[in-house]
This record gives sequence, C-alpha cells and structure tokens, in this order.
Amino acid sequence: MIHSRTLWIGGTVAVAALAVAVLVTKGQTVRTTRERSAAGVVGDSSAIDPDAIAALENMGKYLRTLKTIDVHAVVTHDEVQTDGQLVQKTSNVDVLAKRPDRLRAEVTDDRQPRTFYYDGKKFTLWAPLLKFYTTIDAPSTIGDLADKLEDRYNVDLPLVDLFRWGTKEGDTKDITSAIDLGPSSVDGVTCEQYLFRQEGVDWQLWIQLGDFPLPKKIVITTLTDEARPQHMSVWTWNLAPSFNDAAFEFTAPSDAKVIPFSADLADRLSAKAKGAAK
Amino acid sequence: MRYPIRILSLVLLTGAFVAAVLIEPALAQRRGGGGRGMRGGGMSRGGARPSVSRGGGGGGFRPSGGGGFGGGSRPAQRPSQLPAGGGNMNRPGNITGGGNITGGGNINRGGTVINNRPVNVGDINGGGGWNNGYYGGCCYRPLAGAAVVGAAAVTGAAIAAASIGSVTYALPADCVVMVVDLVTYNQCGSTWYQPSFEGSTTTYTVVNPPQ
Repeated sequence: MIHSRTLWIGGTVAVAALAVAVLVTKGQTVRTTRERSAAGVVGDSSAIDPDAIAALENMGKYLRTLKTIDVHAVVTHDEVQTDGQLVQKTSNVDVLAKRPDRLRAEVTDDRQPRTFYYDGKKFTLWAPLLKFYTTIDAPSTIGDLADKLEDRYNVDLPLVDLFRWGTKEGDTKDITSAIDLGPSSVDGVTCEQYLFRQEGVDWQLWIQLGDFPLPKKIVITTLTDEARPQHMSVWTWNLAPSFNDAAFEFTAPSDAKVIPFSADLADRLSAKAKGAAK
Repeated sequence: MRYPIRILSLVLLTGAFVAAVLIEPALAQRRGGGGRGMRGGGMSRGGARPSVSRGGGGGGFRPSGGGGFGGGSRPAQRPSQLPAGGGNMNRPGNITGGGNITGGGNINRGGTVINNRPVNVGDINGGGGWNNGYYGGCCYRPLAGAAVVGAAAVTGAAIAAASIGSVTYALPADCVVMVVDLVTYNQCGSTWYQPSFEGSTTTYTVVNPPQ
C-alpha cells in the first residue's frame, strides 16, 4: 500500500512538473512534444506544435508535385443510426488521377459499389449493381469538380483530401491543436503519427518518413455527433502508374439506364410544376 | 373466449399502425430533414466525416433540407455546425427498409434486419448484385422487356401514402424499370417513381405517370 501510494504521489509530482513545463513553453515554440508524448501527456488541446503543422504542409507540398496519383485505400466508415448505434462499412477504393483534369475512383463494396469517372469534360457516377448512371458537365479541374459535387450534389469525391492538401482549401489555419505523437508504422512503413483537432473533428494522420512524405493513414473522428463516428482510410501508393486516358472515360453498358442527380431532378420537377400552374 | 379475439385484433391493428409509422421516416426524411430522434429507428442520421480539408468539410452532417424536392440548391458554404434542431443529413444505403415489413409473402430484401429494425445496407436491385448471390436471388427477370427490380418490401399502407413529390429510399417489391421518352422510372403498380442520385445513394421520388 505504502509503495503504491508513493508511486501515486510521485506520479502527481511528475504530472505537475510537466504541467508547469507545458505552461512555461506555451506561447513559445513547443518542441517537447516527443517527451510529453513519451510521458503519456498528449491532452493539451490548445497547443499547436509548429513541427506538426510543418509536416502537414510539407506533405501537402509533396502531394502537389505528383503529376499522377495512383493509390489504393482500405476505408472503414461509420454510419450512425437514429438511435446512436454505429454501423461500420468497409470498402476498397482505387483512385487514379492525372492533374489537373483526369480522375477515376472505383469504390468496391459488396453493397453499394460506385465508380466515378472524370475525363476533363464530363463527370459520370456509375452504380454497377443498379446499372444506373448519371453524367454531368464537369468543371475543368479536379478541385473544382470536388467542390461542385459537394456543394450541389452532396457527393464526396473519394479520398478528396489528397487533392486538397497543399492547396488553399487544405490549408492549416482551421487547426486548433496539433501534436506530434512520434513514430508509428503502417503496413510496415515507418511513419510519424500526428494528432490534429479542428472544429467538429479530431483527426490522426500517419505520414511516411523519409524522402517521400506521403500520407499513409488517416482516422477522422466526428465530434458533432455524440456517437463519435469514425472514418479511417489506409493508403497504399504506386508512384509509377501506367495508364492511358481511356481509363477516365465512361462507356455505358447497353443495359445501363440514365438517372439524374436529385438536385437536378428537383429543379426539373419544380419547373414542371410551375409550368403546369400557369 | 371473446377476449382472445379482441386482443388479437388489437394486436393486428397495432401492428398495422406501427408498420405505417415505421415507413413514414423513409418517406418524410427528405422533406422534413432530421432523422435524429425520429421514431422508427434504423435510419441513418449521418455518418463520420470522410475528409478534413476545406474546413473539415464533406460528409455526414449536411442539412438535408437543401437539394431535396422543392428544396432548391444547397448553399455554397456548408454550415460548420449542425443547425439547431438537429436537421441533419441522412445518408443511407440505397434502399433501406423504412419499414422492413414483408407483405403477402414478399421477401424483405431491403435491408438487414436486426431485432426488427431495418438497417441501411446498400444497393438492392436485381442487377445481379449481392442479394442474388447471397440469398439465392430472385429479382432479375425479364418482364415486358424491362428488368424487375426487387427491393425492400413495404406495406400497402406505405404505397398508399406515397404522394406525388415524396421521396423514399425504399421501393415496394415487384417494380419494373421503365424508360419512357428517355426518362428512367421505377413503376410499382400504379405508382411511378423517378430514381435519382442523392449524393452517391439512390433515392426515389414519386411522380405522375408519364403521359
């Protein structure tokens, strides 16, 4: 008993000392993250470690240098039922892209597979089980396409962060807390693990160490729902892809049927209703 | 001896009422927004955000008022928080059981039912999808030149409640895909639906039969 009590007191003193150290360093450059994380103290939610921000920006800059992207992702995604229960969906995502205006994303999933095609002029969403597809005129860049899909059609382009990091839309000013948690391997690749917080989400990112600072894994925890659903994506990169532009073009199978996006259908139906009312 | 009969009819009536209530969220959710707190369990009230860039954007918690039928287009900037009142985005799989009810021997193919609560599971179709493979299949047969879409079986009450403009994630059983004047419909008896993509999920809007 005495022994454990001594330990407890010792621990308290250590934590207090660390707290003082954190207070002292706050406002200055915080470079003691590694030591603090080693001591298990990572909960200072207001601290921004500039090294963690720099690592994120460096990764974004590196991603911008890639003319082509060929990445495989294993994605697990929580949906929240109305009663708060979580349902986890797993899918495999293959993204092939050529900057600035070609992209194909294939979401393989037993229950709701989709393929996204963008050939620089048209965007097609294809549902192979339903044999339904929709094609719209597309903006001239992947970034603008992602914005349009989100804003008008509620569509999340798979792995969209890969196309926004290192751009204005992927800047780091929204981050309110950034911590370097130290080395951590993903699929045998040594990475550095970071912990970020911004409004509504906590997220962890694993960035490959060495000359190719690629993102290897992300875990996003949504804070705006008390069920705290998570989205996790683990990436495998191919830095020398071989493909041709046909990969980005959709050719409808003969039994495929065209359907619209809901927003366009709603516009069409309300226009029709107005016409009928006149 | 009269009591058991009365109890039985009470049970039946209650069952029918519950079935009718259960289906309502599916029909109502695109119009009224929020799934949160809505009875009938099993519908998705949102999901984890899939991305962090663009202000943590993307994903599960857009308000569902915009973009729906009559809802106009979505604002360019998503609000950074859930609106008060919990208007939130439902992003279920393609067909859910809004009601998982089997009617007249129809099979519930519309969702995985856990403790009688339907869970959104994804595309339900006769296109040779998972339901065929996993459950022995049923749903893809030529009929008058069109494919029969097997879907979540719902009650007659639900079908009767489907008014023009209402949106559902679930179709009754025994619908056919019809293309009229280049427009794709799901015809389910006398009710015609127009399928569309809400996000990457399909939804079905009740429309007037094509002329």
